[in-house]
Amino acid sequence: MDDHITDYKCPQCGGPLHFAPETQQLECDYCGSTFKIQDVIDPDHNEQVEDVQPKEHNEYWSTQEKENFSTYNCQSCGAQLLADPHDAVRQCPYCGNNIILESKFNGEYKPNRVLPFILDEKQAKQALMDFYRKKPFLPKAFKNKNRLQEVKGVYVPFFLYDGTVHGNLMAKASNSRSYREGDYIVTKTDHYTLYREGNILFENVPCDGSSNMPDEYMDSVEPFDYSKLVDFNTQYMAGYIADQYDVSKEENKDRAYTRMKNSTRKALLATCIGFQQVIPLYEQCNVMEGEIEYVYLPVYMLTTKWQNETFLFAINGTNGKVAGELPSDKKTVALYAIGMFIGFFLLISLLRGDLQIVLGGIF
Amino acid sequence: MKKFLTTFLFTCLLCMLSITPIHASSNDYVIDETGYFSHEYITELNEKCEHLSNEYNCAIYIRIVGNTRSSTIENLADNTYLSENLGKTSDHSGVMLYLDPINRHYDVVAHGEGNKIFTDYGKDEMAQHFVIFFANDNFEDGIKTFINEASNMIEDYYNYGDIIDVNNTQTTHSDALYNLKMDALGALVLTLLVMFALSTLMKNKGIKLQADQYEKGGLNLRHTSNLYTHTTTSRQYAPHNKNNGGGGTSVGSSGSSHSSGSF
Repeated sequence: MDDHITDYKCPQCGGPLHFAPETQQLECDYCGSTFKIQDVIDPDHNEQVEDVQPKEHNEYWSTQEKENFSTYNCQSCGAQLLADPHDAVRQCPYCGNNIILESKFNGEYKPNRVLPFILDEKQAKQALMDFYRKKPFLPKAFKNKNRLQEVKGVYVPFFLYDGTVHGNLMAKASNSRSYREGDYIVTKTDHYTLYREGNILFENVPCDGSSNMPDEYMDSVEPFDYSKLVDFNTQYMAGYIADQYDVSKEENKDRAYTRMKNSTRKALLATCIGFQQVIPLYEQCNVMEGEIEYVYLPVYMLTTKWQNETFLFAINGTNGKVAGELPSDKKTVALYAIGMFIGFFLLISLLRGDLQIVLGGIF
Repeated sequence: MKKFLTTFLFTCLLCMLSITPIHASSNDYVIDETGYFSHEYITELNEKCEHLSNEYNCAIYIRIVGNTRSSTIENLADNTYLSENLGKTSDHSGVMLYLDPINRHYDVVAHGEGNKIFTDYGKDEMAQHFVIFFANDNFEDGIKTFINEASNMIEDYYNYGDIIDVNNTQTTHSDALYNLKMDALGALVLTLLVMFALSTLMKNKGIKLQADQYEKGGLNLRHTSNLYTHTTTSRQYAPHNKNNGGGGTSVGSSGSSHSSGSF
């Protein structure tokens, strides 16, 4: 039984197993049998891994785990994807390219924890359809002919950064009051110098470790529900693709710490209340670095082409938040603009009475 | 002897004719007594004023003089208007710019039907447009502005019954045409704003620059101080509005109304 599990085959019928988000269990593609992940974890396998790395047992892929995956290389964007050999990757989820080459997986690091998919593909498609709604410029054909069947679940490598930011801020502030003295308006302004010092603790600020995944997409699908993070287990990847990180935690940390610093600045400035004008003069923020954790976060990806242009959509696999950019129908945009201009013009000129005067003169 | 006397008298007559200023007639719409402007420019203005004056029963005149030290400019303008028998129809309807570019004074005088068209407020409003040119020694553009403003006001009055007055400032036809252009500009700006807002709906992606949602426990403020340093005082001249709100035209005993000033 254990051999079957590590190969992601159904113990009942031998069919491939995949992780079902709705039940959070492994499900057979053919006979529909479900199995709890805890029930199918190989205890010997865990012990073996702990022997290799007793303190950081999650850091490296075991030889056995490596054999369960193949690497798929996109010949267009260079993405290196991990997947079960049974789930052959036919299309790159990042660029939509169909030329994918399979090779043996020989990766080094594996994530500490994984956030399993909570939404299934159907719910992800529904989230995308909801995103399409109330978009006046969206071409109908795009919505109708869109290849929603290409939605693919991808575990994206993320680094979660902890840190404490110590910040101080100096600003000049003023309050003004005006009154009339004869033919003069007198304005008196009281000037102040403000100083603030404080610190904020940040936990789990995410930065994706994949150069193929545009940062703006991953930033936009935040937040992920970290409370549902579990220890990494390859069973969660059954039926999904996983990306390998190619941007290290060192390379990423500037981005994470800059976000922390910006938030600290904003928080310090927000305490400068009771003044009509506040102008920051000097500010300094230092980060005391904390732990950095390597995790897999669930994202559904859709790449679709429209009029020779590629459109990429990312959907948070836990809450359905969508990031992407939709195409606009130029004709609809033009009609909207013209209609709106005429409407606004008539409204303004009628309200101001200018049109009545001019038309009154003509007729 | 008789021949000599005849020749002498004829010569005297010729001399008298040559030294006596040509008496202006109501057909001279623009006269430059100072020689400040070129003959061509005066001729051009004259033709323009004549053309505009012939369209409606209210003439437009310009007199450029250099003698305003001798009396008040209103009296001099009045004398000129009456002595030259200016104006149209029996009530001598018209408007005249009496300009002294040397002593830097001007007067706008209206007469007859012109008093209805050019209210006190209207004359002041019109003066604001051309005096700014005079103040910069740009007399040519200033005079052209006067002619354009005056012709617009006459046209609005005769075509639409519009008068620029204290409580009637936004209703003239030419103003409405200008306002329509402004309305179109406003509509364009609003359209662009709404289109921009709608286009942002098509996009739901962007780099996050802050990490507010990952704060644990919020800001721990360790030090705060608000230090008062000094007070500054500024004064801005803003006279009370002296306009008492009364409209219409104040017509003097000469039958004229004036709006004069220096630049």
